[in-house]
Amino acid sequence: MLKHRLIPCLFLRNGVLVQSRGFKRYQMLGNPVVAVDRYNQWGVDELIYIDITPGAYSGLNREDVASPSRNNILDIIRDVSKKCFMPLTFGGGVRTLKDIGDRLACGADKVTVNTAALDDPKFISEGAKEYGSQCIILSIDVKRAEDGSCRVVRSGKAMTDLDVIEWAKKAEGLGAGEIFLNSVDRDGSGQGYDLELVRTVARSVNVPVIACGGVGNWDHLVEGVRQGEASAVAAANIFSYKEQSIIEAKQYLIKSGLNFRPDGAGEGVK
Amino acid sequence: MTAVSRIVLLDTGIGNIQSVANVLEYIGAHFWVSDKIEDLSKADKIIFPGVGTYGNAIKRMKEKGLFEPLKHAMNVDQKPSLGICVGMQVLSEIGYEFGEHQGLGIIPGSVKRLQTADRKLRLPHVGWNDVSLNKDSALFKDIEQGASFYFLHSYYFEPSDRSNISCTVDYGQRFTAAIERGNVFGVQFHPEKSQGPGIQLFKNFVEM
Repeated sequence: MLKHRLIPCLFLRNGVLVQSRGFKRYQMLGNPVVAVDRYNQWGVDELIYIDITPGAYSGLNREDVASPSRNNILDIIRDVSKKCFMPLTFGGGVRTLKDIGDRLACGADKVTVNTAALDDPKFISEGAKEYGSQCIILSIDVKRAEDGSCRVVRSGKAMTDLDVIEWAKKAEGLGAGEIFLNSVDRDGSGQGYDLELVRTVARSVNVPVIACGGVGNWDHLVEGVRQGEASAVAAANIFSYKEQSIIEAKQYLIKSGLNFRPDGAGEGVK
Repeated sequence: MTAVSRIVLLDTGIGNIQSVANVLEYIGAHFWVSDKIEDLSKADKIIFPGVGTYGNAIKRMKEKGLFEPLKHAMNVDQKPSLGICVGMQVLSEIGYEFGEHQGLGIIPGSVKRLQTADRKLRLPHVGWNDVSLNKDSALFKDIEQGASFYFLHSYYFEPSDRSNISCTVDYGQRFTAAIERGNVFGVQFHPEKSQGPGIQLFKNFVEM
């Protein structure tokens, strides 16, 4: 039986891992490649990297650390994919077919597209036609308007008039293979997923939905699958500070009766 | 194994070559990446990954002039070969993804869209799923019954002769997860993304 997936989400700014809160405040966490070593050993199911660097990299290079700092995303993808024999998704700044092709060639399996698809929805169908739907994930940032309706947020900031369900359905029709749904309201809050949002989107489309934004404890992950009906549950901050957090989360999910792959990368070999 | 086998990782222009190269490097295999016809004859074994659509995969192979030489290497020269994902699907005679496309025709059968509508299952089939081994296959040596592999696809290979199926997976229907016929092997999942069991599978192919 197909298992649900647990996906740590890592945000990169100027080549450094950061923690985000409400898409506004950022705190540096460290080197993106060193973090991957831990995740690989702990047997996470997949990793999503989102590059949220505004504009060009501004050279936060440090020469005094063991692992080299990287100041472009393709080098980071190359480094990560050499260590990480699991599915890798890279997003942020994916604006052209070449951007997709470059990332895949460096070892990414999928990309997330966001702003470029809002600018021109045909970007989704062109990407799907060239590289296959399986590698095009539509990333949607969502904020609730005052009337409670769920609207698409542009570039992590500006709320648009576009309804989330309408956008998700349209993107599916254009060939998006998955939907990565991030609640800006819940980002960094630790209050849990916006379950109604996740469930409504999951029921509106037939492609897998990855829930993100708000996880503060392992029960929130369980809720994301049970109440949110998400195919995959993603979280960022909670995995950054707690040692052995992936193992704990996996054990909790399995103990709760959900179908997840057990922790441990060597699982399944005699 | 008497000598270290030399493996060509065939760059047909449609595969995630880097990921497979990373694993081969990790296990210390003797391999090189190429899209040259002459390398097919130099190599002892061939690996060809594939992503994207069936039709596009065939088109790219033909553009690079690899279609016939690859058939020859598998059918006539009998080189041990491993196709991954769409690389496995194109071993079939015909594929029904966005129209009808003629495949390499190495293993009789066709590639069809997964039927999941009645079960309310999502497509593509994305994620870790456990496979059921149904014969003693050298490719799955030391891999446990029920091991999980990473899948990412919407189409599956239905061989004419079901005895070519070495393991199956269940998603709405039970279908081919891996196939083999003589010297030719194919896997629907991505062993290069499947951690422990995936690495073991590559070791098995390298050492067979």
